Amino acid sequence: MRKLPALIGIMRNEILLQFKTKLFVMSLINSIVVVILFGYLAGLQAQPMNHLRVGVIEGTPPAEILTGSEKVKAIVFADAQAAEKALRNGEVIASVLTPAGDGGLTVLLDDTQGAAARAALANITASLLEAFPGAISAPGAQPGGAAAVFEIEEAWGLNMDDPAYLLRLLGAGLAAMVVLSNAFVFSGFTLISEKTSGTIYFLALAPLSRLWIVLGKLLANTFLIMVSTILTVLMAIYLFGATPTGSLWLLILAALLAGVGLMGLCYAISAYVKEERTFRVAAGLPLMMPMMFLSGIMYPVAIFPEWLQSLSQFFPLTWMVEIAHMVFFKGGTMADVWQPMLLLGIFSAAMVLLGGFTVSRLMRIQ
Amino acid sequence: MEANTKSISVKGLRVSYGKVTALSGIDLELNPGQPVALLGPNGAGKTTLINVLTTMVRRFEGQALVAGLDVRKNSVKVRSLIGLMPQENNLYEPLSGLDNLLLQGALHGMDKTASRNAAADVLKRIGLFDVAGRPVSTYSGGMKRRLIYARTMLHNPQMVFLDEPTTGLDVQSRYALWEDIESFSAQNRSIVLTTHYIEEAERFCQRIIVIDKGRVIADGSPESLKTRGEKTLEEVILNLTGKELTKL
Repeated sequence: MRKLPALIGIMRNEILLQFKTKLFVMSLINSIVVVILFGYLAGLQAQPMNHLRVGVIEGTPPAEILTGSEKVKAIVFADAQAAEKALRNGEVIASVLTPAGDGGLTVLLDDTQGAAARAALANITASLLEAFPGAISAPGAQPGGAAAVFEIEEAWGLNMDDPAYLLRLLGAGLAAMVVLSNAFVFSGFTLISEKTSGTIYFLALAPLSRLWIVLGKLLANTFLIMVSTILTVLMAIYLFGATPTGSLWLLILAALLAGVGLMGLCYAISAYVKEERTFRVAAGLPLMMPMMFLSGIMYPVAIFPEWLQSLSQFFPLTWMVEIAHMVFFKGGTMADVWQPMLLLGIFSAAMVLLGGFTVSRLMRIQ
Repeated sequence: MEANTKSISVKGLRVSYGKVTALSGIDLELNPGQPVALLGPNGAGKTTLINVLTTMVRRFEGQALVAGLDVRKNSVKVRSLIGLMPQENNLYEPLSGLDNLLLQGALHGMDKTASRNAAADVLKRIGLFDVAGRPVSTYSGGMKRRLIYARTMLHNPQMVFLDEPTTGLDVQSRYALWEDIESFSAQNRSIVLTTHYIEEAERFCQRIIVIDKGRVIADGSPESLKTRGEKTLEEVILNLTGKELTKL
């Protein structure tokens, strides 16, 4: 039996299916929209946020200083009560109050606005510090944060005010996100659909080892995942300037290994579940969601407590994000990333075997 | 396959699904070129027998040979010799009829040109040539059935298992299909058929095997089975298997 035509046939069939069911196109559009949206927002976040609305009280020195400042957009209120009310209503993101008596200042922050509130505080602080040195008490203010920023700048020559910084962070995170979500969709959902329609049992009648069938599917979907990932990263680079400082090939290799491994894992899980909705829960909750949140895509691993950091080291996506950060920020070479790359390679090989054998068993009725 | 090799040889075949016994000791020998019908009520074990012979069930007791090859030890080789038309529609619905056939060709190691030629040939025979480019999801139930048949025959197998091949087909389609099956049989190829259209089995098969509760309860030509004055094969089946509805 000639295996090559069979392998090519399975790959062609799989790719055709992903196109005809519009799964690939929809997932590609999804990735593109995410790049554009995140790219645009990251660009905004990297700009000096001088449009943030800050409440001040009429006739007070801070009002005079901030009204003339280019760092904030000051909204003047008649008294402290009105400024506080405006904060609660969401009209302003911070209010600078001047309590009578002690001569100091209090800045109220809308904590629900997170980073924007902190940016407002930083802008207010910068404007007021000269006029009221050492007189600011602000809930949530983290003076240590600025020091940490300077340390990073010294280590890697990064300028966090530079829009490219956030965009690189975006490029690295997006690559991992696209690999994760596409592996989930292309392998698990497709296999369950083949079980439901019975086509998997048709494939089982092919005169070749069933591992070849899984391999053909895996190769086809890996190709599609790589197309999505490369396109996403290129968009981040050329549309939003998220230029990597290291070799992009390392990222591509990492994405390939992570994609293959995650698909193998999803094949193994989907072989045991009967319905799409069960797979969504079986693979989504214990696997995909933790990886999304704990692999360094959304939050830096360094902020986690130690036990969570240790846990995140077991996620293959953490290894990929590590490589992606090396490539985007630190001019990483293979010598820098060989360890996570090796782990990804081992994970990938193990999961291909696991997925292959599990699906092979599935193809037998008993 | 050598001339004296049995197309199918089964000895002491037992299959259980958990506590349910699907086949309880079947012995069977089939000659090449002899169309055989497996008849019996639902759940009798016909499909299980086919699943063993097509290598889909590996856990069984006894021996099962197809074209002289052990279905467990030579499963890949066995699959290269056979074609299976299952009861259920297991076509790739979003793909075209032609794409479904090209995949079958590729799986059997045929190159693209050979697959295309074989597909064109079989599609013309069963009247689907003109719609081959359409997605299968737009086909009627009967057209899908015919396409599954075309896929079964595409690689010119030595033996085919046809599980309820004509269910849901109109008279014209059934006629076309049987004409094709007869022409296949005339090439000394083996056919194993299951059907609930007893008259079809009687008309096209020289040998009838009745299975009930996992056992062969009758085996012979349609005429030789009418031992108790029955006029039709349907009466024979009813007499053998009873009139009670199957409890599954």
